Amino acid sequence: MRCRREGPPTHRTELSQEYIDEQRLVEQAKGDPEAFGKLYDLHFERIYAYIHRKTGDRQTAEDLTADTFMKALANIQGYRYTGQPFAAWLYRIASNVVIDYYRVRRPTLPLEEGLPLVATQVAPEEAAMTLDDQQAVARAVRTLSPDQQDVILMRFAGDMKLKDIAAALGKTEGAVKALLFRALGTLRHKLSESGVR
Amino acid sequence: MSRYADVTELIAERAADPAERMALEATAARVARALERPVPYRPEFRAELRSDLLQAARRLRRPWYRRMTVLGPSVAAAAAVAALALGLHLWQAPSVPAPEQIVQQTPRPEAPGLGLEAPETGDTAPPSQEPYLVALPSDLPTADLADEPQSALTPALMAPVAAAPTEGVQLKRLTARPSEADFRAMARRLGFRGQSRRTAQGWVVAEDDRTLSMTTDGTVRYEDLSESPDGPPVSEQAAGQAARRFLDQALLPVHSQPDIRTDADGYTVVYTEHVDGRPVVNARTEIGVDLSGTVVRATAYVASGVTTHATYTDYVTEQEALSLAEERGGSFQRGDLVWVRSVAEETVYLQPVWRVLGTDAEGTPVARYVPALKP
Repeated sequence: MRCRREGPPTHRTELSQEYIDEQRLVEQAKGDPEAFGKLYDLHFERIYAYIHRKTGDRQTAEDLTADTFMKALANIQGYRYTGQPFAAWLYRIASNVVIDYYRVRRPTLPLEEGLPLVATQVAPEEAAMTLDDQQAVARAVRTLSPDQQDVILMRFAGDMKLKDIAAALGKTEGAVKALLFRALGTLRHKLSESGVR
Repeated sequence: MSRYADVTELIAERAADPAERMALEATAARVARALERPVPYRPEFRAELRSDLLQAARRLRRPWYRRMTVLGPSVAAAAAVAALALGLHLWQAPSVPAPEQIVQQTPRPEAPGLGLEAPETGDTAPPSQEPYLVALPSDLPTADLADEPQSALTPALMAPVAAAPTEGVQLKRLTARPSEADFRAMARRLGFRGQSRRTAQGWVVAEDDRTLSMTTDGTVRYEDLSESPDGPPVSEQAAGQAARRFLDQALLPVHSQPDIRTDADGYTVVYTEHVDGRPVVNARTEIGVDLSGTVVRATAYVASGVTTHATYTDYVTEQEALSLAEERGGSFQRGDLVWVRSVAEETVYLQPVWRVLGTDAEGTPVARYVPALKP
């Protein structure tokens, strides 16, 4: 699998300098708007992608991303380091924002899939297949329970460790493992039904 | 698959047989491939949100002594006039204080925060320096409230209030007023996607059957006229939770327990804010929730800090308030000092007002309001 980095570390095996720097930036952001801007720059893509994948709609993703960062700003004074990366805290806010959104809004029809980026260097046929596969996976993920979606998205798209996902969702690591395993089983069946490969 | 070693281990631990293990590993690899790809976003949205956040962050973190500058030149001018008055007073100080002496307290740093919080310790807070004389604000509106039937007063309104002070009553003012950016952010949080427009009083956005408006003094109104989905009626508790979620989503903080009233078409959830242990009687947050649990209407107030504008040592006492109330007919037995939210051109004040309880000329039990500040 290809390794991609969209922001600061979301997991670690030791207290790396990069991680210490992030904690320092968080402390700075409590009193310095520019530092909060840097945190936003570091985490925007990750949070936007998470929300977009959960809602499947660009406009909703924009609204809820704005809501997430506004809440983060309003509550950052109360943020305390608990051994998890800052992204875990942001994911927790984002997850609650999405849940609240669907509680207040009346149920709507399933939303259409946004078009993910496809590398331009590949041949058109291959690109079309890749796009089909991405859409099939996105659709299948959206059929999972909200908790299973969270675990799948945070692990594979957010690159988070299971224990950090557990912290973000307020669950035990064992519960997260169970959710992940069940989610993979469901996805296996859904993707085989979709026929796209 | 070292990046996903934990996933591989999990599958190995829990898969029933090698075939399932291989299938799940292939699924995980496929999911990872699809989800690793970045999701496109509008760069202008990213930039706009960054700008909104920084603006909000600056407002939140601005030290108290710089907030004056954003209130406009009129406040700076008022400060200059007050300073001049102080200079004149010191130069030609009266030997005996006038009976209508008014004490101005020097503003103190406010605690950061969004809620309607009183950062000062209230009536007992000692002035941070020598008092000086100021007049009532020239733009202070008259606190003129109609009688209210006692049956309409909620438990939160009727809860015991702090004892009336003996050394003077305070006039308070709110320290922040909302901007269009605040309105846009609130609209986004409530799921409005359309463009907002400016009105004579503030801003409004409408979409399908939903409307959200905010006045420049911070009054928020929301209405949803769309048809309610069928289903079993929600409980009072669920209605309270729906109202709370709505307020949380709109970042409209409340710090009190709600009173929930059952109506024919649902519930009305009412929050009464208290400042220094006294209710704000004319600015209750009211959320209408229909039987399906949907918030269908709301009146609420944007969060703002509260600061003491001045303490007035010559004021209407409880006994005087009872007499003044009876001059308008009826019989009144006791009074509580409460707050009335008053909107002036540049400032939102919390005025001290006596709420006296008794019966009106027709014998109906009512609450009558008598301003505590002498004009």
